[in-house]
Amino acid sequence: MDTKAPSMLLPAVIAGGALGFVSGLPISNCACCLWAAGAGLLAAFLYSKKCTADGAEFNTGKGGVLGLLTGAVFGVVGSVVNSIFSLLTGGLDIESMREAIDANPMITDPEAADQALQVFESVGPMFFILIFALIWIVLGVLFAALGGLIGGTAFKVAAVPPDTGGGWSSSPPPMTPGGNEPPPPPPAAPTDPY
Amino acid sequence: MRAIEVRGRRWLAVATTAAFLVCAAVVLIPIAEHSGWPRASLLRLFFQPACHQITDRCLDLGAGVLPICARCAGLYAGGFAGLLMTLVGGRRVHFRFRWLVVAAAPSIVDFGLGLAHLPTLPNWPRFALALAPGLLAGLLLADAVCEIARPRDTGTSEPGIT
Repeated sequence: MDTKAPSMLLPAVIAGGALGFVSGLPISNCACCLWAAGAGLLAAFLYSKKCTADGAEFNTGKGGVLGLLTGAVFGVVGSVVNSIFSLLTGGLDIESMREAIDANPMITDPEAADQALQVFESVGPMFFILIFALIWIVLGVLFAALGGLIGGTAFKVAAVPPDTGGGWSSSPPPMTPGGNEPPPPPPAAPTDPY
Repeated sequence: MRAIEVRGRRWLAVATTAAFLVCAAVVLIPIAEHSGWPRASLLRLFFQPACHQITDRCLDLGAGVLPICARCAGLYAGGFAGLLMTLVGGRRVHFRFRWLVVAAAPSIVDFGLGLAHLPTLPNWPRFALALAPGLLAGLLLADAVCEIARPRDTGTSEPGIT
């Protein structure tokens, strides 16, 4: 196949950057896994359009790779946007963290809440920003890869065969049994022995 | 529908096991809290980046609210069911992507109503609505897993046929 595959970077940056930015906003922290999976799907869709135009192949494996790349962009952009908003709104000082943990009905054990606060106090907010960014990137890569895999299956593009006319072509001519040897002679007619 | 090769079946088994572990963790965390292991509350935080975890929107199976919302629970359960169906059935299912969009449409409408602060569905109907897109996504994912597990040097044989 001599059709050069288009670059995956542009669809990964567009899809991962746009949906990562939206998911990092405080108003859209709902269904984060769907934002990431949607980024992988969107990147696969954009890339399949590009492959269709260029006559290149797009399959499930490429979709998975594209999803991984998109997830990395998604995670970096999302975590940066979210961290900026957290720092601007003072959501990472100790009092805000205490209020958030106290108000979180998911944490039912007061001892566990105290432990979390002690850890937060001892390591500081920057450590939490880094840990949160790491989790965001890992989850983003995971879910976007799933989206990319699904997109690679759903938006599969078959490669267009290269020029089959009489001009220059890098593909070898079709092989026939026997190569360039002349065809075998027809069988001789039976002769009468009498 | 196409049969799954041995290699694809192995990869699919790994993916299905991973999905099962995630679903099992979702169900077991409140049970662990309820049965005297309160530190399980901290395990809920691992799901925090992937779900809003608003308790009013989480299902309660009797031991406490689940660590993810009803819609996420439906998606996860449906995805696991799709993977398991393909693994047990031994056949790859492929369909057009638009069916996934159609299946997700009711959940998207409900999601939009919530964003607009309009009345939305209760938790169990929300879970049931999310099962369908989760199931179809799981079937597509199983097809994708089998596709990438397929050996590339199979020559002219039809893909996926053992």
